[in-house]
Amino acid sequence: MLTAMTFLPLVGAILIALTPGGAEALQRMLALLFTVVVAGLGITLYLGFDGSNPAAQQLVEHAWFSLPGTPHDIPVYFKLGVDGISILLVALTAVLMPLVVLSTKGHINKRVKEFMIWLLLMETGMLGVFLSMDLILFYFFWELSLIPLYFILGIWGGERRIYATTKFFLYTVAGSLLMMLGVIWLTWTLGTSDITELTGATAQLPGATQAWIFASFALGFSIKVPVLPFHTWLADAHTEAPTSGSVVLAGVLLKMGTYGLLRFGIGMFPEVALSAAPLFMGLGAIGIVYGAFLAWAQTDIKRLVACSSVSHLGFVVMGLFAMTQEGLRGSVIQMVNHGLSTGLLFLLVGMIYERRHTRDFEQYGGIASVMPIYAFFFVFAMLSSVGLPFLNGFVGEYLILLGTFKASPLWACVGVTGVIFGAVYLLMATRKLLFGPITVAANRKLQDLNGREVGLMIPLVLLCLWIGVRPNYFMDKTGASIDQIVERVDNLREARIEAMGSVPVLPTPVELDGVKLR
Amino acid sequence: MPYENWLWWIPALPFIGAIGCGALHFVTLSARRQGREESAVTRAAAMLACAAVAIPFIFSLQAFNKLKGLSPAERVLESGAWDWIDTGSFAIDVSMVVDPLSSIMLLVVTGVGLLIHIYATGYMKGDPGYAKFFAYLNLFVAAMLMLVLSSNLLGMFIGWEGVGLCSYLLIGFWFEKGWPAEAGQKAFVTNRIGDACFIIGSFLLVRLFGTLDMSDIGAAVPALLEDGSRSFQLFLAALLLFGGACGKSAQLPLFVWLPDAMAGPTPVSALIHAATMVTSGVYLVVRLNPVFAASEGLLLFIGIIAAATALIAGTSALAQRDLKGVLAYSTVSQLGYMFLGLAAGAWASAIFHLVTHAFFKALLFLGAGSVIHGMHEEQDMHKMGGLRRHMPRTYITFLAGAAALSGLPVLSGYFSKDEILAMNFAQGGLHLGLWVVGVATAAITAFYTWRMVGLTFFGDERFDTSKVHPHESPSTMTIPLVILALLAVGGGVFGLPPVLPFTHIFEQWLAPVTAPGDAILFGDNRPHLSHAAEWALLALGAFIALFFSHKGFHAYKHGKKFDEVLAAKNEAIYAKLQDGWGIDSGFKLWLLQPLRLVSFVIAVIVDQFTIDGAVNGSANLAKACGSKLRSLTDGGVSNYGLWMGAGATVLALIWISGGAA
Repeated sequence: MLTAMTFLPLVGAILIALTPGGAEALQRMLALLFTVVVAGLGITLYLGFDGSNPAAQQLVEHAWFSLPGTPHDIPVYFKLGVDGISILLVALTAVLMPLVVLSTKGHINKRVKEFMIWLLLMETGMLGVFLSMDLILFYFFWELSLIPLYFILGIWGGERRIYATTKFFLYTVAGSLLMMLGVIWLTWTLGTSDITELTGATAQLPGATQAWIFASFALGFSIKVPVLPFHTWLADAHTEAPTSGSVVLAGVLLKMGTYGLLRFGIGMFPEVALSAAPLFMGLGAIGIVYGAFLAWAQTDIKRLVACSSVSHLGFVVMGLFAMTQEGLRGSVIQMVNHGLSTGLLFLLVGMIYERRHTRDFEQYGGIASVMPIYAFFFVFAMLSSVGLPFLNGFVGEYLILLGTFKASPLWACVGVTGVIFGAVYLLMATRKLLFGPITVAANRKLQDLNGREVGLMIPLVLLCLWIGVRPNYFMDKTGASIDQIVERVDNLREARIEAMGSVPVLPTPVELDGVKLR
Repeated sequence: MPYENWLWWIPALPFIGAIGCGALHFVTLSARRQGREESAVTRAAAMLACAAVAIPFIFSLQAFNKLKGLSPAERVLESGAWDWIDTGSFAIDVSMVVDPLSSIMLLVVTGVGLLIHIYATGYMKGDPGYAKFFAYLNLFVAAMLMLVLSSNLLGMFIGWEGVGLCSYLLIGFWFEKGWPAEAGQKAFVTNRIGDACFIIGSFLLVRLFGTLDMSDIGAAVPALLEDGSRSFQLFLAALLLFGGACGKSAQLPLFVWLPDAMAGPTPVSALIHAATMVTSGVYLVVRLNPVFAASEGLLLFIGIIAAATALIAGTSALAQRDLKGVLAYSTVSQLGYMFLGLAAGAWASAIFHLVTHAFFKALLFLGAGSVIHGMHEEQDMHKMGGLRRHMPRTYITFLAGAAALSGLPVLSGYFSKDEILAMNFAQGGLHLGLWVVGVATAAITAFYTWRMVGLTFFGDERFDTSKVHPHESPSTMTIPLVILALLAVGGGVFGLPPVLPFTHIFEQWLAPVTAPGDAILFGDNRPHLSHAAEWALLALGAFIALFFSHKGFHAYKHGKKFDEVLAAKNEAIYAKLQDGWGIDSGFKLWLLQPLRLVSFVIAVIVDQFTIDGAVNGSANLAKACGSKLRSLTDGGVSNYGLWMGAGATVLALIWISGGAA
């Protein structure tokens, strides 16, 4: 099933390539069909996934090729599998893509055929990244997922697309090269590229080697996330990308970075990660505040949403490197949350852009009186992004902050200001866009959303509510795999504390005699 | 004890009502677009919204009766739990709990809420967002009930944020005008400052108790205090939660949003910004009274903040010309009283004042709404006058509310205010200082209340009688006024002072909830007043209320002249009072603008020039080194393939050399 999921989009891309150039309707239909089928597979996979099993499930394994090495050649496998760390992201990718295809109707009107090919190719790449259980294979898919975005940005982007594309490309290449060094080094020294085996074997490596490989991975993934201060490519890429590109970028591609940090940073090198945790927690926390301030200063609505990503992903990074159970679970759910709420916001920004062809706040105001349905969805997405309880964002943010508080009260206190500043810039954006009197005449006759536009947002809205009200349904799937990491980290922590001979860093609730705690 | 799962319906019904009204709103919109009649739809929305509050009101009565049938120690009804969040080591289970405290809040929220809903069916008539208004109002009631009923602090936070959201939506209800939207934004953001404190406070509680279940926390406090080493953390947690309460309940310095919140429709001001939402901070403290009782220093701090708030807001109310502005500052000031009661450990008195205040302040707001309605949206009292002749029913009920607010003897406000002051007096020490401020504020309250009455209803008409024809409001609006007036006048019977030969119904009813806090704070020696002292305080309260009411009324019953006299006497001070002591402008100048500046500095100097500059700089360097790269960005597939092939070759080379080594 995993093989089918991964390669069906590729098959779709090939089929679309075979269609005649002008048959746009057919191309759109084919793209939709294939993404829907993959979404169906993704949901089936999700439903059948056993959350209590920490190991990779649905394994597919074929010998692929082998690399020369000492003392014996290193076999590289085509190995796919899904575990608690990847299941939510796989499902998110699968569910998001049909909606992305649906959204293209509004803004992709030239070279539709090519666009669909790249989009489907990208899906193969992204699913491959999350499903790979072999490091070399992972790297292959990682690179594969970048090429399509590069074209989507460069061909269908906005006015400054060349600048944005170049920047994106250079950054990405730099990150990938660094990561490649790590991949090669690791595979070669341990004589295997199987991720499960590697995860078990890294502890044998000398500390310095671990640290260097961790650094190369962490840097590569940090650029992707992006972690402060590597974030400047993001605002440009988002601003210039077509709506659908932005949605995929925010919804899935950035998650490849946080996913990598979790699986290959914390999962493979818990010892180094523990030492680096204060740095990353700090970068995450500062990123939260920095991103919020950055967003607050924007006059371009799409750029504002892009900057908000820096802030939101700051939460994820902070939670990951808190390396506590609450922090990790919160971060994994927050990856999905960010995909949903920022995806929604990008869709909404795109919809208004398609009508007015401007992203400048000054050109808007009072939209709510002419587009009430639009206003409803925008406010909903804003609230989900602001982290209102009962919607998805709250669960993630609260758990991340709680997990961070256990590891470092200081950074939790810095991070919690994001709760305030997030409200500041998002409410400001909402007010400038939707409220007040209509000052620009062109806004008076704006058409409200049509059925397609509403329809493609409904699944996201429902997911936001679902995660907000029943987060356990989603977190239970991730539980066992994360607990496995947490257990390893906790053992390391304890060993360190013993070595230092000091009191436990992690506080335990006070012992209470005769009081029953639920 | 069997689970009372029907309790879930209490918040669920208004929530369903909100969804229904929201759907009806979109129906009215499409009806309007197609030119169809929409009055049937709006009527349905009004009915639905009222029913969605009326049924929970009946349920609340039912819950109250059930509690009454139990022995005091067993007075708890609990529903089955909803396992909201569970990470393994941290779990949030929320159940709906009705105990004596929440039963009172339930009745206030649904009872006063229902009256305000009925009033709003008349007040909002003809508004294009009629159904939407009721959707928000229902949603508010649902969130408020969640806040009140939740067994878990984080469950309470759902309601806490939910009411904040509704407040934001309803303040900005007339968003086309611009400034209401800004006021709503300000309310939300200011509240969020408190919420951030609330969140950190909850983390400390998790750290201390391993749970956020409020009854478990309360039960565990004594054991924690015996240990002693963690009492500072407990103090910190309580302080942070009080920070949250400051945001919601408009205490210094976070009260700045409440005067602006008057931009919303008047029923909203009555329901959210007087009777219910703004009191949730008081409710939080009483709910967690053992946590707050654990630190006397903290209680004193709360008292100082509360006294300062009461005084600052009270004096600001003196100089407001906007009818709703007076009521807004008055609300802030009265909330200060409630916290003053909490500071003295008078939990029951604070709740008592919360309830009487809900009656008379909702009444005054609705009365003000009726006036504004009759005056064609005029809010400036200097342009009113003589309205008692035009709006007799509004006038009479408004008098009842004013009398209760100013604390005229035997009305509800008299008893509840007196109790709070007496408790501070009885504690002695620094609380005596708080008492003095409280008494001074009582005098100010009486004065501004009757100034308001005089300016609005007495003297000559200061408006163009040929253009504005004030008229009495319809009975959907006046009937709630009459009911609230009766409650405002008679509400005192629930809490008669101990010196009189009646039982203090409130204190007795709340005793099971407040006992743990009392035990921690006072042990066995609860401060006590002699009968003589009590009579003296009652007499003093009566004298102050009567004297200053008289003064205020006489200064303004003939017109607005006294305002001009005051303004002329000391212009600077008067302007400062009108501006609410300049705290709001201070916020803008010292907090908002610097932060705004920081954001621009970050965006332009740090981000664009420094970080991005470094990035682009290195890129340009690279570009200069290899101009070939440019050809890549032309978008040719073959080129890219070439590069990929080259990359693969390099990779392979490295590999082979590595293998060879």
